Amino acid sequence: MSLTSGRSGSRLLGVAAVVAALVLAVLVAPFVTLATATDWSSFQLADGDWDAIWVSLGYGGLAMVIIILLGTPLAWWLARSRARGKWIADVLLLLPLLSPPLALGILLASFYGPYGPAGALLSHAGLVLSNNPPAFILATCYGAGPYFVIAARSAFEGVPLELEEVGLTLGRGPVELVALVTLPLAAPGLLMALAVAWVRAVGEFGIVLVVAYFPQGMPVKLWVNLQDLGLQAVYPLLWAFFLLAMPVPLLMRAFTRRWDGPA
Amino acid sequence: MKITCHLEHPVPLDVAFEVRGLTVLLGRSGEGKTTILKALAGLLPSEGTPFDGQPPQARPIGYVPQSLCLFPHLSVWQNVAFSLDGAERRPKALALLERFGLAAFAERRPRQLSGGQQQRVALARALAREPELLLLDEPTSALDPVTRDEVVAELIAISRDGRPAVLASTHDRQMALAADHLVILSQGRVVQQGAPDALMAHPASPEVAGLLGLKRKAA
Repeated sequence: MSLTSGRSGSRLLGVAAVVAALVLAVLVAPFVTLATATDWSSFQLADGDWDAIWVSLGYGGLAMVIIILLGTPLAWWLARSRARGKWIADVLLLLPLLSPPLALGILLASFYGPYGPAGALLSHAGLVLSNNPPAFILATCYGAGPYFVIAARSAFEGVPLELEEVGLTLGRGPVELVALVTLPLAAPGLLMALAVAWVRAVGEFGIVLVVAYFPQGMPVKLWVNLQDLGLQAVYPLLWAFFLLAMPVPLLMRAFTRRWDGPA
Repeated sequence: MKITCHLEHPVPLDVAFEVRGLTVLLGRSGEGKTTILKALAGLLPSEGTPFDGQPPQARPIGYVPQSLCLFPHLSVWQNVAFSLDGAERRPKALALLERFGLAAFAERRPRQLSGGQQQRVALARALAREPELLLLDEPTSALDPVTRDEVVAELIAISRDGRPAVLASTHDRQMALAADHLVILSQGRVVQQGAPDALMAHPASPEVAGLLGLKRKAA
């Protein structure tokens, strides 16, 4: 017997379906406009659009690798550590999330830019973080990383601690248990964290606008096309954006469903 | 096997008792039965014998918590083989499943089994390491009477030759009476232990008599 199996449950489900349909219709409406507003007879990408696509996918992908490598241990620590003062880490993680993207971009430029404290040190080592691919990756990491960490933390917290404890009594060490129990059970949530972070990474505009205007990724190039060439130059790149960015979250969703499905 | 266990948190406990064959730890809810089992498994900081100071993964124990904690992402045989390595892990797991009459379910996921079957899979998994001491937390609490009797019979069979010794916590009086050795726990200490018949004949206190289901007062 489920909540929605009775007559009143079915009615509730029906009401929810109507509300869901309305909300979805409102959400999708602007995107329908995209289909009707696009001039299909002269549909083509503007000069430099392909470069922007490769920048977004390539450097965005590299940023995702960094986010996964650094964000996963952080998320696991946040989920499992009983250290006093862990709340401070929570607050620190919220800072980049709460900051308006443009403001965060200004802060990054102030800190990592050529005249910032970190930037000055890094420039001595030959690394300049301004208007170049490393700066683009840095901006993307700041934009998308916290979203990944927060979602991944929830995924780890969803794995019952008792399963890991039983694993210990079965002779497996902590590192083995993370690999054999924690990561597989957190995988659906981690994939969704990845999807959310990817969406944030490829769509990041405010931070990269300040820190890495060049190389231009798709969001900045959309802005440039609008400024220089007008609306009709925006739509083809926007189509490309959706077609290229969308498969990752859809794939993650499909993997998640498969993971949750019956054996 | 002589057990001593002292800990302050989450409840203060200081107990010493023998484990002989199938030993049942009997006490009211909140007396610390689960805490003792977790401490012996190394999952709670404690002092005592015989595994003092060893991390849980190094202790020769098998532990089955009340919620069983079967790994939902692994098949039944993979659950049983979790502690095993090498080429023999699958044949050994299948042999254990055969012993518990579950070989036909080897490829299924735990959630596709009944409560009694899941209990047996958890037992098989804990036995795969060939432990010296098997710790079971309320092994019959979620079972119907018929399945409970079957599980108790299996526990008696497991402990028959003394390896592993079995220590089970319960508030199930019938399971307690089927044990080889009974340990009565109250207010963080052992108030009486011995063969069930002896305890039934001479309960040390009205409280023990009550736990054993005797209406008469202690002798």
